[in-house]
Amino acid sequence: MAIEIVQCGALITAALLMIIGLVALVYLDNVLKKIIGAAFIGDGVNLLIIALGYRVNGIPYIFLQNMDVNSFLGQASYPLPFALVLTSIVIGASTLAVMLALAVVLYKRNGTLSATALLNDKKLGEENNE
Amino acid sequence: MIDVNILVQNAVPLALYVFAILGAIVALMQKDLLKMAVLTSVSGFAVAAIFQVLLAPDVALTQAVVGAAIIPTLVGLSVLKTREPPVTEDVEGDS
Repeated sequence: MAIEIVQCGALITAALLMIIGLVALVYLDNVLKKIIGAAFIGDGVNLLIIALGYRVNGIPYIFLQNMDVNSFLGQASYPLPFALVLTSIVIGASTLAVMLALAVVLYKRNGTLSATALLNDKKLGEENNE
Repeated sequence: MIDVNILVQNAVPLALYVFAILGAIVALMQKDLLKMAVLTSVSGFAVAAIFQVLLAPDVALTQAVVGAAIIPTLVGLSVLKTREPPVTEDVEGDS
């Protein structure tokens, strides 16, 4: 019972990280802060999947020499979501790098990073109409 | 009589959860963007330690490198790039 608190807290933390990221994406004005919010959403999703693979009173899924096979299978945590999350972290980092590069190009073209200023820019609207 | 093991097993993960959430909120509330870039690593490192607590040591290693070192570096570099006044002629000439 004592360690189930760990799993519930991890799920709540994942939900709160996703909510923080969504609020940042919708309500914050700076484009860089929106990108950081997207990174926090990715962190929350990774944490959710990891918390689902957790086993109470378990051991890590590493098979050492002097372990019994049956007790290892009974105690080890579920390794498949961890392998998928390992890929997801790296993909999230590279996606963030691409978003930041696009933000730098946006700043060099328009001279501002504010989302409302970018949306109200007359030059940008004329280019879209053409 | 307080059992020290149960206290440690519960207190350390709860402190890490608080660090992850408060680090994210404080990083997004900064007005200085460079401070935001540095404070992003607090949440990333707390999430890495949570992965270690949740029995995933290899994911924790990757998250510690990516979330606590690489992402703040990239954000800081882009903040420094966007602080300079833009040179519009060069960009339009290139494209």
